[in-house]
Amino acid sequence: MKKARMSRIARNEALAGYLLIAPNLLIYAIFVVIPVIMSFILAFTDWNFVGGFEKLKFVGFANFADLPTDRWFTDSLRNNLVYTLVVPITMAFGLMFALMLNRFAYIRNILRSMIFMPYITSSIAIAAVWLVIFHPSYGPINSFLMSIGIENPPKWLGSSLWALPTVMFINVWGGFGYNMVIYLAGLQGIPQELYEAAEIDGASAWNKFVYVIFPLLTPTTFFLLVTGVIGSFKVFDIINVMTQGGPGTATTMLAFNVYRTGFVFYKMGYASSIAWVLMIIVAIITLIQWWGQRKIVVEY
Amino acid sequence: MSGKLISRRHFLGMVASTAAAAALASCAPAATPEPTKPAAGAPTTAPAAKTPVKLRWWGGVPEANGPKQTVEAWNKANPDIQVEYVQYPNNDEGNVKADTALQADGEVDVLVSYGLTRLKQRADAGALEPLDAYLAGFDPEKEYGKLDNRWDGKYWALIFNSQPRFVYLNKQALDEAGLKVPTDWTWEEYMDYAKKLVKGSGAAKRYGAFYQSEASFEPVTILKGGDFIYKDNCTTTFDDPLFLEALKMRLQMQDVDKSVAPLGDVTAAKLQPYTEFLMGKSAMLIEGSWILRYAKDVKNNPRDFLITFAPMPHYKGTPNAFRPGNADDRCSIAKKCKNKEAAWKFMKWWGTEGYINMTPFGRMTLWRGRKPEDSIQSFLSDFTDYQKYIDLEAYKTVMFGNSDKNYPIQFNATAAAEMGQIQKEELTRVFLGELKPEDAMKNVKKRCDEALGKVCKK
Repeated sequence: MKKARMSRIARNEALAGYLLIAPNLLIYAIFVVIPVIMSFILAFTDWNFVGGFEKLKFVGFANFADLPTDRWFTDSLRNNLVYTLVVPITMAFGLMFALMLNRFAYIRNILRSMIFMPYITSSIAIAAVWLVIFHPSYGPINSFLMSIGIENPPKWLGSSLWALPTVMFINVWGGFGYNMVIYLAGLQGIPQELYEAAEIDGASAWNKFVYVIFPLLTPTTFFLLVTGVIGSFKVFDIINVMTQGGPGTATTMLAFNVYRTGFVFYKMGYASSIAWVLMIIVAIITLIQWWGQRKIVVEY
Repeated sequence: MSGKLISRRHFLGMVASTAAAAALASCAPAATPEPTKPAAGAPTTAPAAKTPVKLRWWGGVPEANGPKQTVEAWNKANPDIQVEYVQYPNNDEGNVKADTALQADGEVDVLVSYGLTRLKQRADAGALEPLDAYLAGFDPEKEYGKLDNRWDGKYWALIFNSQPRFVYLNKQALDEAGLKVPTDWTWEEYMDYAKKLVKGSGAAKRYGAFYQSEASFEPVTILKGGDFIYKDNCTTTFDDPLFLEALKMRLQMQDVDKSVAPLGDVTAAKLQPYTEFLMGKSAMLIEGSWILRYAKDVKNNPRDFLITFAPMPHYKGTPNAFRPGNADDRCSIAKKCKNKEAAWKFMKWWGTEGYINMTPFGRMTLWRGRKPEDSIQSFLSDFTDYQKYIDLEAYKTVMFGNSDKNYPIQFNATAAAEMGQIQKEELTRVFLGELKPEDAMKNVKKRCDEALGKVCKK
């Protein structure tokens, strides 16, 4: 008797729980789950979205078969892989500044805010400012380089060789403040006793970093790495504003290529197939990182 | 201590949201909810005679620059058909907005498309209504000249706007250099003018001329026509020496003569051709007549020089076979329009009598029923001190001369967007000094043939 009542309560509670998440779940289904399924179906079609669904034509794996010989796809994949370097570099800077600003430094609150500032600024505004700074003829950087005697400084965004590193630099600059804040939070979580124990054992600052701080920051590092890599594969706004994928294909990224294929070339099916390849790549990389992180987790 | 790890569930959530984001990128229009249809009203037999028909007219021109005046004039004269204007920016994003709206009931009735590529994408997708059924007593060829503006045997749009292209010249700069206003000239002479009109150096340098988009082969187009790039259904003519010659000419202006701003500067600072010219930073500019809208706006583009005009140059000994310029404002009726008769009535009026409302803002009608003098008068109506700013006689000549020839209108748009992107990518690298023009043209030919070959009908 008592048991039955308990289970009724449990049932009611479960029901209430489902009702509470129902609105969210519904919206999630409409705006996320259904589009994901649809894009999967579209990846096997030839479809110009202006025509509505009557014009949809199934083509099997033809879209995927075209990918390896499509220069826009292969170049954007290569560019994206290079671009991923942004993540460790941003993390290194973030960690460096977190360590410096965790303890000493006089005006550390102001410095922290300043370093975090680019992250909360509109990327469009950032792009506009950097366009001026990197102007090949009259920008401050090249004016300076020319004034110290370098005759042909790089043309930065106007050069196939330098455009990608320039965009990467801007993203490092814009992102390391966020990484710093996350690392600061991670540093606060390291118990004071561990530092003391290390000091009693006579550890140098470097040893403390290598044997205490860095290992204990592993979860933070992992979090930043995973989210950073995912974000780097989705980079779009700064490319759209600054380079439109150029010069040539030097800064064409997968997400930008998806957009252009779908909405400029009107090949929605083909764009979906690229989007799915992008998703699979991100999933694989994340799985590898997940697996790798479990191997190096430390216990204390 | 697995508590320090990110949980498996959290991780899966991250993967799922990435998948969702990637997938969403390609699926945006599918998620757009259809607007709810207006309630059908009471099921009585009362006809809707009293309530006026409402039309939504989509176009890319800013509302204040003509559409507003057009709509006001029409709505006043036609209380039974009330038109509302919706502006969409004529760029990639804006066109996606228009395409999405075309699929919704009652969102778009009359649509103005710009360029054949966009129009064709819409027509081929079945989003537009063929106009032939409405054309009784209205012969487009008689009203607008021979534009061959149809395919599959049908008219999908009528073209209303005449946009001749010519050379804008800074009279003051010409006088300083002791040069006359040319009336008939070759590309060599144009390059020579550009070289002589350069003044100063560094950031204060005034260039002789200004680039158009990096993918433009205009000298070839006005000689051979808009579809010259298609050799047949599946191959292009980019191996024709004319293209290489045109490319080399522009490269010489940039690298040898240094009479145009380097492309690197143009893209880095996002320089606009018309602002450079109106600010006196380049002494010549090849542009369409639409720039006059800005030339007229001396408040926002103040200047102290007179603008004079010269016709488009041509190759030595060979006059241009086509009239340089473009005919645009491709006006169509949407397939989902509910009041197609009313839409046609409005569209026909706008494309004939009504277009004069656009003229004060620099848009000239292609309609042959409108006398050039009337258009000129309308254009100058609120530009009282024009003598200080534009050379009217030269303007009339370039605006209305040559009108016996056809514009090099493009009829084929197969893989046009992709081929445009390919040209842009390869030619940009030429102007940045990373690629030889010969190699670039070889790449253009090869890549465009591939892009065309994928979609062509053999």
